[in-house]
Amino acid sequence: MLELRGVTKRFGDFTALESVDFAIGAGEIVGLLGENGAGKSTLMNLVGGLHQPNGGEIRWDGEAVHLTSPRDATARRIGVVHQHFMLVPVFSVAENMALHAPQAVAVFHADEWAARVEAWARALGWRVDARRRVEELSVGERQRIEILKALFARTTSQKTKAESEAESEAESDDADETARLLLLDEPTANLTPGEADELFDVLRGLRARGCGIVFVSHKLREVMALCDRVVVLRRGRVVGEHPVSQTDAARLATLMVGREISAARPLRATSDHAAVPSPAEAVAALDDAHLTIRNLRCGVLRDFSLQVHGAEIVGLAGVDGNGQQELMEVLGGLRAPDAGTFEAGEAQTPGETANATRRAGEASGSAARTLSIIPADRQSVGLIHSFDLAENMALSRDLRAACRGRFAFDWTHARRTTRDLMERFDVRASATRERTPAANLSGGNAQKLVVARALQWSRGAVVAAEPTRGLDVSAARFVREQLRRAADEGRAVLLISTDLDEIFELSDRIGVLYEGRLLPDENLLPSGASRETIGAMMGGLVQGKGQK
Amino acid sequence: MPAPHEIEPRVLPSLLVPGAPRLYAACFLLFAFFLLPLVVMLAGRSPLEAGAALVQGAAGNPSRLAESLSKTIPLVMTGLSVALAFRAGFFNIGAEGQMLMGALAGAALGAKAQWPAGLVLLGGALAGAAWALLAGVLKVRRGAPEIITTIMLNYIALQLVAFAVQGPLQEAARTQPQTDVLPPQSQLPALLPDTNLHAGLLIVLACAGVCWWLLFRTERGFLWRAAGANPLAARGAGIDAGRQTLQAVALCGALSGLGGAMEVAGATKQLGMGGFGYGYTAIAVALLGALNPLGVLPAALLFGMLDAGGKAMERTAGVPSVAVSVVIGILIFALAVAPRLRRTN
Repeated sequence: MLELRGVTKRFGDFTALESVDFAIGAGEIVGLLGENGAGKSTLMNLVGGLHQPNGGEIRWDGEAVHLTSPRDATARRIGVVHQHFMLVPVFSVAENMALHAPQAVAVFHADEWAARVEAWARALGWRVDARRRVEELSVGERQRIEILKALFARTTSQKTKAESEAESEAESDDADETARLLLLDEPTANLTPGEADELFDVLRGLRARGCGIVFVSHKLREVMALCDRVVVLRRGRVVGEHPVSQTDAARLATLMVGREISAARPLRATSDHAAVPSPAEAVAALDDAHLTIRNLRCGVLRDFSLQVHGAEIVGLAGVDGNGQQELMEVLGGLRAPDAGTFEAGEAQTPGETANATRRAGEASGSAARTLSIIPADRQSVGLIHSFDLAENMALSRDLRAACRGRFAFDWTHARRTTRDLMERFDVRASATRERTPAANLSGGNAQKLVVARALQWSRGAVVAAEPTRGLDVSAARFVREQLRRAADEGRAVLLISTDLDEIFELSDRIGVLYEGRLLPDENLLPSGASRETIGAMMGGLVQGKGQK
Repeated sequence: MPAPHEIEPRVLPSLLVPGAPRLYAACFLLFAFFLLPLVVMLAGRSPLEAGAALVQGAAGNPSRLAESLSKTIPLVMTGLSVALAFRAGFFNIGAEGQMLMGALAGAALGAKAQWPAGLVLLGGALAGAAWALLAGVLKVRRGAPEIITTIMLNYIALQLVAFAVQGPLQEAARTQPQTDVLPPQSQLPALLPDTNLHAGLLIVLACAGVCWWLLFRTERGFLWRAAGANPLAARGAGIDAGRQTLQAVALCGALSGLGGAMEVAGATKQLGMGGFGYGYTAIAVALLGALNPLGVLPAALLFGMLDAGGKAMERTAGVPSVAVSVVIGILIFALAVAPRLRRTN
């Protein structure tokens, strides 16, 4: 039915997909597995008409097609369900469906549409109240509406209520409207296990009716349970394709994370005191430079606890959307947790120890003072675009303290310090140097600036999220070296990254964030843990205690 | 409407502030220069005659200039208020209401309580700050959009003034909807005899200087600007952005309120019905002044002269003063649109 032959997609210098072959027939569910950035979404967007390939061809029913817009795809009865809901919450179900109708609706007859949508859903064996507003629906119900919307591929013309009623009787008629191929991007990301099971029943039902389904996921168990065939992507290439019956989850996990060992010298601690602290040392570490997170609850996060000691880097692997964002927002003070606390200490300076706790709900606490954040989103959270570089550096409490004058803020000092730091961290700006607006910095230089600000003054714990995402090799290397140096200085470093290579290169201990929980829940893995173990955890094959 | 932090002060054109895009500013000036004659011609009058009347009316002799300056005073105060609030991430459409509340408090303390001028001004500033904080707290604590709340508060202030001058604060004679004239000790001294120009001019200059110093030379002002330019980044850096915004909002309300009290104590000497209108022109003043307190001064002077000159033009050349309003309206529109045009090119 659908066939991709040697499809390549590049975004600038970045190759998202390289010579990918992929095929799916009617009545088949194909799982598409891969880590973040493996190319799953790009492949979906090519078939869904959002992007066009740079090379290769897409064939539909045996003939090459150019899908230049989502509408093209819809017209060929290809339906897409995106990971994030694309529904208008204040609209009713029927209105949302009408919005999606390939043909513009000149006059909207609410009752007619509602009846039509309901009749149509009934034909699929679903009960839907099309007059309810989407915001009143549960997440699972919304997901179902999304699928309904995607399936609702073609409408011939405005039909009367009677006609649509009649149509629901005759199944062959409405099959004409149904999508023949359904693309689902991480459809279970927002669902409870029970809701996911219901979704699977629905998808199996569609398969029985001859619908082809591409199921994009990183959850190995779900893929194994639902799919007929699995295609594994890694770094834009197909690295494996197996019928589910002839493979197992462990093998898929290995394929997904790959076996290649990073060529770079591991930036791990050479002394072993950081890796395995004795109890006494652990207590000492707790006193000065640690990051302790207790029973944090927020969004996806469920009773997340973690302790990072001084002088070590703990790597937190995991697929995006498993709680990384919530964790960063809470630690960064952007969001108050529903429950739980965290505290951060400072690396000991002679004669002084600092220790601060931020409790749940407290708007501002001193923990922020001892915690340095390198946010994943450096563009909107890390920097202020309209401010120049010196002003951005002055966001650091410590630089401001140094610049406090009697009558005025000492901008001369701030500028001189910024200039020095730019030299030391090799931040390249235009001739205006520290007066350059941050908006004019390249990604690598912007990140170096953020890192410099986070590491320069404070002696406290460091939390870095995706610190090298989008950076070139040398800039990434530089940033990683700086993080290692921070740990060597005795600071606690928590590295949250979806890049497994980075986790392996830097971490002294490794944990996995899966569905808001830390795995393994007893002791974190040593730096030498196998990729297979971590891959299995990322895919949800290994569960913590107290979970099913 | 763009959120405050989406508008980058750096790309706003300014005729007078150093560092602003020069060529762009020049084009802008030319545009304004040709716009007014065009509007006058559309009204069927001679542009030359109207222009002469405008200039004559705005600055033809000392008393005309004094009139222009006296109109500039409240424009500076409200312009500073809008500019400062904008920098701190608060789109203050409520300068008018804050000014009215300041004027109301000033009239009560002056005409009724007969307090000295210093206390009249202080009371006005406090009333304006309180009025602005209403919208500020609603925004910071409850997320209510200030563009809506401040506009609504403007109407409430207008009605409160109407109620006061027809009720508790009405003149002793009880004929007109206005307060008594303020006693001499409550008035601001005149700078030029027989004109409306009062000592508030000096206060205005001081306020602009202090605001500039606060914004660009102190840590406090830096925190306000950070909270306004990118609240997320500010909070990520451990800055309580909401608190910074509230502080700035209180100050900007005080500036508007002070402007209102000065208007009552210096220019009109009593409070009547109706709004001032300065609070709305202030938005244009602030934008033209590139959201810089020092830029607000000349921008306010320009609008003050246009205001005074426009009225003179109406009298002598027969061109309706709304011609000036048309030009001001188009200028505001151009100011709002221009930075976006620039970015896409």
